[in-house]
Amino acid sequence: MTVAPLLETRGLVKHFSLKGSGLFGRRYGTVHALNGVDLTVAQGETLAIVGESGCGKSTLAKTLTLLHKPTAGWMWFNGESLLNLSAANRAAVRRQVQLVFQDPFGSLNPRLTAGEIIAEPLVIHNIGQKSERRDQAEAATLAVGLKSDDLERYPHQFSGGQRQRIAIARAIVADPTLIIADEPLSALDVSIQSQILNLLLELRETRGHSLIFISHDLAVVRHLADRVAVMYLGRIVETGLAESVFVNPQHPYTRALIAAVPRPGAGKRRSRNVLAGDVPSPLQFPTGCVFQSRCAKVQEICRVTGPDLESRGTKNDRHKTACHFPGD
Amino acid sequence: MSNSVLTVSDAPLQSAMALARRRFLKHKMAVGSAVLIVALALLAIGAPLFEMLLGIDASKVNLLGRFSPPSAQHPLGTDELGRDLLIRLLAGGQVSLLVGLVTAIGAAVIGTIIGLWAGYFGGRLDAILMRFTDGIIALPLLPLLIVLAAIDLNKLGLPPAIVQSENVSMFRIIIIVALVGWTTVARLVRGAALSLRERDFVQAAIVQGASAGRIMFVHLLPNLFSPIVVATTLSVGNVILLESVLSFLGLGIQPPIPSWGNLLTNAQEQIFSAPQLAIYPGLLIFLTVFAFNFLGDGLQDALDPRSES
Repeated sequence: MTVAPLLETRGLVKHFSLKGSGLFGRRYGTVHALNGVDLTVAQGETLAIVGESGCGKSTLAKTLTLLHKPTAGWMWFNGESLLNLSAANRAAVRRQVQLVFQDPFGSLNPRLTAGEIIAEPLVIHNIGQKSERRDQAEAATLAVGLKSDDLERYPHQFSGGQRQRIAIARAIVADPTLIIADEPLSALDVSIQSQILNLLLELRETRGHSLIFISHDLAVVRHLADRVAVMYLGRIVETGLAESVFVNPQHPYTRALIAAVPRPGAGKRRSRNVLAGDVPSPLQFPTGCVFQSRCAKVQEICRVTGPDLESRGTKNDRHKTACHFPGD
Repeated sequence: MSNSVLTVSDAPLQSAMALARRRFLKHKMAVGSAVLIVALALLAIGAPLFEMLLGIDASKVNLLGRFSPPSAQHPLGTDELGRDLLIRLLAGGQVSLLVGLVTAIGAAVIGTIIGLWAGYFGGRLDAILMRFTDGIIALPLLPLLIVLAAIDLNKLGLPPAIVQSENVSMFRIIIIVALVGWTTVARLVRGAALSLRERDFVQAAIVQGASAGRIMFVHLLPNLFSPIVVATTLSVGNVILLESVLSFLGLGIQPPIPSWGNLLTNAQEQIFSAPQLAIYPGLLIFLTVFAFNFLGDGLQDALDPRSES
C-alpha cells in the first residue's frame, strides 16, 4: 500500500448498554451494534456499505462521524487516530467529514432558511467573512441544482428531493474530504432517487471527495461504488472491488443478496437461495460465525470459531470474505 | 401531492414574520383576546388620567359615600370606604397585570435555562436537575410562601430605600412566585429538548462541530419557542390567581395598593350586601385569564411554521 488510506478502522466495536432511566438505573442488556468492523476508504474512493436493516450501518455512520464513541477498536483519519481527539483536532476532523442523513424532513432545522442551513458549517468553523459565506453558500446551492432565490426559503417550502439537495449542499459547502451518505435515497420517491444519485455522482467527479454510501439497494450500489463492503450483524462479511463482489460473490450472505435482486428480461430462472429466518437479535450475540443461524452450509466449526475477514476463494487479494467455506 | 408542494415553493417569497402575522390574524378569538388585553393594559395605565377627568382621588376615604350606586362621578359606584370602584379596578389592573406578566416571564426564563440544560446535556445532570425540580414541586407552597413573605428585608442587607418603598410587597411577590413557578416550563422544555436532541438536524449540527451553546440557542431554543410562549401565557392567569390567594392571606399586595386579588378579598365580607365589589374584579380576572389562554393558543398556531395557509 503506497498511500495511507483516508479513513481506516480496525476491529471497531460499538455496544449499547440498555439501562434503566434515572440516577440509579440498572443495566439489563447489551446491544451489539458493531462487532469488529475493519474498513478502509482511499482518497477519492467510493465505498458502498450494504446490509439489511438493523445490521449496524447507521451506527457505523454515526461512529465514523464521532456521534458515538466506539466501545473498542481503532479509527484513523488521514493517518491520525480518531480516539481521544483534542477539541481542536476534533473540530478539524468535523470540518473534513460530513454526513448526509436518510430523512430530508428531519435533517434540516425548520426554523432556519435554506441559506442559513447551508452556510452553517462555514459559521461553525469560522470560515470567511459574512459576505463570503453567503457567496459560498450560494455556490453550493447552485452546485446541487437549486436556485439562489431558494436561499431565503424555509425547509417546509421544499419537496423531499429539494430538501435532500439542501442537505447535500450543506455537506459540500466547506469542501470536505469525506462525505458519508446514510441511505440518502431511501426516503425519496423513485423518480427523485435517480436525480439525487446523479447529483452525488456528479459532485464526486467535480469535487473529488471520498464517499461512503450506505444503502440496501444493490442496483444503485453497483452503479456507483468503487468498492463494496457487505455488512451483517455488525460485521463486514465480504469486501472487495464492486465488480469482483457482484460477479463472483464468496460469502453465502452476499450470494443470497445478489440472487434476490430482481432482473428484468426473459431468460432461464435462476436458482434463488432465499434466506430463511431472521437476523438474530443484536441483544443475543452468537459465538462463532455471525451468519450461522441462516446459512445453508453451516458446519461444526462455524458454531465455534468466527472466520476472519481474509482473502479466500478468489485469486484477488483485495477481495476478502469472512467465511470458512467461501464460493460454491 | 407533489403538485401541492410545487405550488407552495412557487408562492411569492414572504418573510417568516409576515406569514406568522397572517396566520395569527386568522385566529379570530386570539386577535380579540389580544385586543382585550391591550385595552385592559391601556386602561390600567391610564388610571391616573381617569382620576383627573372624573375629578376624584381614588385613595381618599369618604365614609359618607360608602356603597354609593353608579353615578356620573362614580361610574361603577364606590366601595366600603367610599373610594371610586372604577379607579380602584384600573389601578388594581396595573398591579395584577404587571405582577402576572413579569412573574410569568421571570419563571419562564428560569425554567427554560434549567430545562434546556437538563434536556441537552442529559445523563446525570438531567437526573439531578429534574430531582431538584421535583423537590420544588413537592414543597408545600403556602407555608413556604408564608415564610418567604415574612423575611425581614432589613436583615438581608437591602438598602432602606427599597425596604421602605410601598411597592416592596409587589417585588417580593414577583420574586417569590417566580422562584417556585418555573417548574412547569422547566419540565416542558426539558422533555421537548430531549426529543429534539435526537432529531437529525441536531445530530447534523453536532457532526458539523457546533458548540453546545450554538446547538441550544440556534437549534433547540427556536424550536421550543411555541411551547414556552404558550406555557408562559397560560401561567400569567395562574400567577394572577396565586397573587389573589396570597393577598387573601395577607401576604400578597398590601393595601392600600389595590390589586384584583385583594379587591376580591376585601369584598368577601360584603358579598351579599354589595356583590358588585366582588363581581367586577372577579370578572376582570376571569376575562384576563381567558384572554391569555386564547392568546397562547393563537400564538402557537401562528408561530409553528409547519401549519399551512
